[in-house]
Amino acid sequence: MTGTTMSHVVDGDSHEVLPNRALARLIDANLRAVGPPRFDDADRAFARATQKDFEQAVDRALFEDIVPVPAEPGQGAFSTDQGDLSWRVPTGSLDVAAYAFGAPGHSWQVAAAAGTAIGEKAMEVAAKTLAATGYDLLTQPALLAQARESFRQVREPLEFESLLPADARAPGAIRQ
Amino acid sequence: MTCITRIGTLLVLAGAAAAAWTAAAAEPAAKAADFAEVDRLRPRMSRVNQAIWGFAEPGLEERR
Repeated sequence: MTGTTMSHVVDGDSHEVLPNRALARLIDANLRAVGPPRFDDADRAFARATQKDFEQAVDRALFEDIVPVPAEPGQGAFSTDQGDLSWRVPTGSLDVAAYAFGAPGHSWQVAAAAGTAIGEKAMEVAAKTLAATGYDLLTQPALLAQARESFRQVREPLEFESLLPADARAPGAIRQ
Repeated sequence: MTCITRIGTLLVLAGAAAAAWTAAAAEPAAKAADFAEVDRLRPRMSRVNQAIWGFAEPGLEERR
């Protein structure tokens, strides 16, 4: 025995993201209108250079297509504070390729690409897609209604249970 | 807390009624104006991106 003791404080909770098919389809339609990022050979070469440390080879430098909205929503292996929001309001999002294909999240490959034209081209596509989607939602009340109905169908059968203790208080500082 | 960075998140407070999905393609001229505005802002977006990237953590330059 080492005599080590420990204590812990639960100061966070992160629910899974609830899917919203209405918003997913609307975002998909606008993403297709905008098109994927237009990467060039310099972007591909940079991405390839960041893939050299990968344990398994990948067949492309960058993902340059648009993935169809899946028939059934999946649950990614990550957590995000977007999850809890999705239990409160209809929530949709999109991912745009901003780094080399196959790069693990939070890796140096991701950080490096974010500061290049790769990241900025992805940002532009995301900005245009969200602007167009926001425009649709502001000008077409029926689309808002579909988003709300999609939210209701998913959310209504569920009960939100926070894992935070009842007496939990927000941390006084980040990274204490 | 957040364990993944996702580009672009849209939160929507919904209204009422129902319609066809094809309605999303309406007002192409207005959307073209939206896109042109994003194009106009591209240099500024790039400067902001570079400024953010210059901070230690996104630039992977943290040291003890």
